[in-house]
Amino acid sequence: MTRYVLGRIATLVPMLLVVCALTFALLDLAPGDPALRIATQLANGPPDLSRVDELREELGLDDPLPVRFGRWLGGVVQGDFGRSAIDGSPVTERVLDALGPTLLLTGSGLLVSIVGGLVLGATVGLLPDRGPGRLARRAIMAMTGVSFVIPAFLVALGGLWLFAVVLGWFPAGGMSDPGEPRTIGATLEHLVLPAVILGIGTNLGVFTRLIAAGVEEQMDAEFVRNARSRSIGRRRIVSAHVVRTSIIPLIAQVGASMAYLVGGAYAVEVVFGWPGLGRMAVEAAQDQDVTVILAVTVISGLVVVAGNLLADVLLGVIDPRVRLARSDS
Amino acid sequence: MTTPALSVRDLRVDLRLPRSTVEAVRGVSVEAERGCRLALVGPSGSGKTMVARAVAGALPRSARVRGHIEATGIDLRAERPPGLVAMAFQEAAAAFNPTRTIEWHLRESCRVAGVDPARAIPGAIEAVGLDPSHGSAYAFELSGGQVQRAGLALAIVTSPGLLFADEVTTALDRETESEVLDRLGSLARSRSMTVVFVTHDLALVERWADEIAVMDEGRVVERGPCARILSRPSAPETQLLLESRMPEVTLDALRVMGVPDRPDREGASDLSPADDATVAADAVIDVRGATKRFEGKRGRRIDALDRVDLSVGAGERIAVVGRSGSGKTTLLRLLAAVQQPDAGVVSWNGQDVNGLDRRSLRSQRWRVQMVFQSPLAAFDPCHSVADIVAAPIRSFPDRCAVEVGRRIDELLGAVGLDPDLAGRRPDQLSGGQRQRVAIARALSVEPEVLLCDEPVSSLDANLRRSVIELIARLCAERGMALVFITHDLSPIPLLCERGVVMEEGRIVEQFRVGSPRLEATVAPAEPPSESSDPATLRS
Amino acid sequence: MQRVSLRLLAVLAALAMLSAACGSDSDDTSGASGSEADVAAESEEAADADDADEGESDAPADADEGSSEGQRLIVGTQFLDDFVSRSIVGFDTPPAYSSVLAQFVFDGLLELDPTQGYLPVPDLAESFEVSDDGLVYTFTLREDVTWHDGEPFTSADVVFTLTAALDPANQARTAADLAAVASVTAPDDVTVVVELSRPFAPILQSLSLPIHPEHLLGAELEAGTPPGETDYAAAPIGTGPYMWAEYRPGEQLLLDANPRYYKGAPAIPEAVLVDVADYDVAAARLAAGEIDLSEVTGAQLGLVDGLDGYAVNTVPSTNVFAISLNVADPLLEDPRVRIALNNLVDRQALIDLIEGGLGEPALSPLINTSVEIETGTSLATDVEAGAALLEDAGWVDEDGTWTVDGEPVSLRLDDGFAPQLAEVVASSLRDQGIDVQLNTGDYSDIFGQLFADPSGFQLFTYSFGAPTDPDSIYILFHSQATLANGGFNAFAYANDDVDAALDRARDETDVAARAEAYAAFQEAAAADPAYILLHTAPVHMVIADSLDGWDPGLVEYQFVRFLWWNVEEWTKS
Repeated sequence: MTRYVLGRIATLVPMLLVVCALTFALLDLAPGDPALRIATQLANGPPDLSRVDELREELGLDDPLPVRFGRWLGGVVQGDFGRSAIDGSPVTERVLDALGPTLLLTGSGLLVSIVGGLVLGATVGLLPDRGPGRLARRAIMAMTGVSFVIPAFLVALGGLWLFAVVLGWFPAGGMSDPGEPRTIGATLEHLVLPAVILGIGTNLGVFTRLIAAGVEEQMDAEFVRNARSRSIGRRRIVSAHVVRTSIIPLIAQVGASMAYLVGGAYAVEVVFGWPGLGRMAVEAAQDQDVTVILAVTVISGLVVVAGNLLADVLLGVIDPRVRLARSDS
Repeated sequence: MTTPALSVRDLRVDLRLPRSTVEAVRGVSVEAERGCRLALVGPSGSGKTMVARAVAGALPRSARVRGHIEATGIDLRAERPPGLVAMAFQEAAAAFNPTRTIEWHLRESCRVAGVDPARAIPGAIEAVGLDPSHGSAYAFELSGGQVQRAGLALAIVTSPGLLFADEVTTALDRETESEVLDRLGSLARSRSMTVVFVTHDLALVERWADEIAVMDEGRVVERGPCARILSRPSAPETQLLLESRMPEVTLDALRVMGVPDRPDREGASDLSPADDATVAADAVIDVRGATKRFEGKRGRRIDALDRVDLSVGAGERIAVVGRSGSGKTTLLRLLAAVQQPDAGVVSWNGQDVNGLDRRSLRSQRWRVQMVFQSPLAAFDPCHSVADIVAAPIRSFPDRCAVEVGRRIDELLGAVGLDPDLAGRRPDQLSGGQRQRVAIARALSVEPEVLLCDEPVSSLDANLRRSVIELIARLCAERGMALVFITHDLSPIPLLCERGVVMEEGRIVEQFRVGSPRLEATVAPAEPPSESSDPATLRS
Repeated sequence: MQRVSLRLLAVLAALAMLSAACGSDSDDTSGASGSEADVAAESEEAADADDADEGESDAPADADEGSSEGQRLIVGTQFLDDFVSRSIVGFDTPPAYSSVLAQFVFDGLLELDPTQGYLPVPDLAESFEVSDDGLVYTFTLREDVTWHDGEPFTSADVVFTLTAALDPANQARTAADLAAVASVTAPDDVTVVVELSRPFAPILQSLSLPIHPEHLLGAELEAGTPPGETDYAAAPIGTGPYMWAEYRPGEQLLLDANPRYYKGAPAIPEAVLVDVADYDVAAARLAAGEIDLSEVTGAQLGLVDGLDGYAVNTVPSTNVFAISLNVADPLLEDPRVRIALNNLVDRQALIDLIEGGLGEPALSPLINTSVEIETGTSLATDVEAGAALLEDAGWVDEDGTWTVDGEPVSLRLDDGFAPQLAEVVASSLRDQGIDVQLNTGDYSDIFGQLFADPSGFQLFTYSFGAPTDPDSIYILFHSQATLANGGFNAFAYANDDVDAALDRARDETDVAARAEAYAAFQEAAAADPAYILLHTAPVHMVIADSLDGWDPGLVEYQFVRFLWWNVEEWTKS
């Protein structure tokens, strides 16, 4: 098992490197003169043009791209993401502060979509196609179809209005009530709505369908028929057999959908004032704060990669075929 | 009159498919007394498996059942007491949940049936001759024979009163098969278990069953004591079954059979290994000192092959026999260069294949093509027959001089399939058809050697013969060499001129068979004797 | 292989997430309120608040009067992170938009009194004198001011802050405003002397910049630490009505009332600045009753109008949207052309499409400033007048398209911050037969390019205002205010009459005289426009009925700069 995990890590590190390099290069391609841009940002009005040349030298902007990338990478490896181009604040600190809330939200959102997908998918997969069951199935499947189409941002805004404003069931934003201390209880209370919205707006539809298809297929699998012949009850068949095998494609899909999840998390963060990387990223993008953009990209990449890895590991735990795959078959 | 162990009256099973409904069982009535050993035989598609599944409660969801099913007086359609009826599936690996160990399943059954696992599980494992350490393994880790035994163990662990065994010995060699059947027999006796054996192997039926019910197209056409039915069948379907058997063969018989055919070779009675020098010169594949070790679980080392030498001459047809686990498949893989030996040399036409770089090796692969045991597992279910057959051509376009479509038609014709089947997908074909497609695929790049790993063991008896004959004919026509793994000796006289016997990773014996007999006819078997000796060959 | 059950994994996952939640508690940077008593008080309050919250979430969410019954002022604002960094780091001066924070936490030598037309009035300095030549300003400081940490406020703090702001190493944005300062000295603890290199009346406005404590920030800045990285910056200390309690980045800033505030302790014990990402979110939080006030745009009016417990306050703004014109461009050299462009733009369409019908056409660069000026109408929308002027200038109307020397006229419009506006202006001009090529881009890029090389530009969208002193437009119109000189007159617009008027207005201290000068400026500028003046848009501030003490006239465009000037007097019921 350790070998399996290490193997997965080994493939993911170069991937992360490529992501960093690509982002760095892309940001570099953006039109305009970064030194000029920074000087404009720093000034309240017209920038000090002499400052521009100074800045360029200070920031080493004239060095060739690989050199700059190497310099940046060197800093990152030591845990230093540099300074914000806008106000000079150290980026590492800010990013690490924001990471916790993002992880919390992303993880919870993922949990919501997994649990929701399991429940709804199992319902669809197990209900007979007759009577009231049919209606429920159709409704759930229609919902999943719709959720594919609506962008996360709209879902977030709509959800905010419906549940926080109109119904008043949940707070309308932030990680804690204004002025109130940050307790676990408060955080959880504020977490519910954005996490649910995130789960619904990103992967709930996909997961539901996966589980529904998986359950339906598995319920007629040979080993299930065998279990039935051994008088294993339906309840036990579902819980001890079908859930396990149906969940396998779901976990595989989790890895694949990590990037989408993280992107959706950012939209939700903005709408719900959740102080995570998403907010930082959006503002940095607006301000063209290159160092922050890069830092957020790296961290986001790490989160996606870590999520993938976790999914792979989980897959290895659940599915012995993955874990014990022979090396020379 | 005691309550019959099994009582089925007017059983009907319909399978509701997306576009049609198939009547798999059309009014079957059958009874069996306690302790009876009933064989349920018929060609594939006759509905015998469906009958078993209907009684055992393992039908697919698309099935609709009507009729009366009773076991020891209990109406199985109303209630299903745990542990009363059990069934061992044909594809044993599929019967297990892939994410749970064998032992987990055994425990599960025990728990549901209220049986003490501490006693029942070891008993079941021992009864089927399974290695106890395999209990903690997963189904996919076990070989075909092992998993089939595990499936049987799962069925008997609750000491069911009624056991259905659906083709549970197809993956086993004759010896192991006999062992398992013997044990099953004694188990049946000691626990008063009624066994219904679903099979198409009449030899097995002769040896082992008391009674026989012959099915065809969803109905029972004949029913009665084995001895009578097999010697004096009244239904034409039964006769057909009997006729398509291949002759029983023993190793001794094979040895005796040797007929000198090629004047430049040694005499018929020569049983020494082939002369290396003369053969190696024109060897299409040559293996010297091949050794292969595997790391088993928990660090166990298994010597799959131990210093094996083998030469395959051009156009030569060789059989490889041995018990399961003797290394036959590993040897085949080395011949095909899909695995590398840990020691030793494998050469194709004199060139060491393991010394080649990837690209060079890949460019030579057309020379050696394989046909596998399991027709379904070998194909991508999404591909059509045409895709499957043409796939090798795409890798080696120079090997096909004519337009691909024509070649596909040619190949399908050569294997006796209607070219219209080109558009179908594997799950829409019968087992025999699938295996023919596999052969067609192998032929598509006109290889020099055909490697077959038990290509007919999962086919019905009546199909086996025709496929064997097909392979023989194709090899002769195209001058292809053939290496044919089989645990069943019957095809050998029809197909091969030489054979090697493997045991625990080594070749322990080689023998000559003489020119393959394409027209070997088979006379009806003698009435089965009380002993369990295999019948001898009649020529 | 050990068999890890799914259940165990689920528990582990949950634990991991909870620890992430706990981990983010590390931001409790309580500068002034770190004692145990405060923590106890806080948890008591939390208990009360929880009860209150419970009641709240059951109630129908047409909002009630906000939370915690008068204990807490909750302000919704954008760019909270920017505020924090800019006011601490940038030494930003009002009317910079970050001054929201400054008005809560800091004081300046002077403050701008919005009720007196933003006249600089004494704050930390209780009086000041100006020398006759206008070069020496002597400030006498109050003696009853203490810092939030209890230390007494002295002249050393003022000298320190001004010096630091002027130090190029600190890259203070406000440095440009203080460019006229030659020296700052403190003869004694209560006196500060500022000497200018040249007379500069607006210096008083610049001297309202927040004063920082020398005893906390001095050492770090001397050691060369950039202001943004000082320990001080994580928990600033000021002299203002509210004290920095806790900053939760990206979320909220908690402030406690300063009991030692020299004007008297604020009536509302706590204040919270809550970050809202945009106006839609602000509207949602208002509607949920979670914040007491926030700015919204016309787009959200429908959502907040008639909200129970809140009132929408709409006031005109001083901010003018305009199109800057490159007067050096051959097509735009002729003043008649520029006046004509002003005549041809359909301002009402702009107002309708962009501001939802709420707004006023702008016909002068100076609108709603502290100096009352009358506006002419020569630049008003008048298509026929405009067409006539174009013809005078030699443009020829060929079948609905204006041509010059036989070529159809095409102008390029660059935009870095208001794409919708640019689009409407472009189409408005196209309707009048002038082709406009639109180039939308990023603010910093476009402006950066502009500053580096203005010659390529013809038109670009802009906005400006003189919310306090009308002198703010000096840097736009005066020929001396070129980019090289640190001004904003990008295209070297030079008009002698304009120059003269602006200079006069600057030198005069008499309000009436200044008004005259600005009137003259306006006339001159209208005859030789440097801009196509577009419109002003009102500002909508949604404020809870429970809040009292704020002045409705002070609701301002862009981040509401001066509403807070008397926040210590506000009450909440």
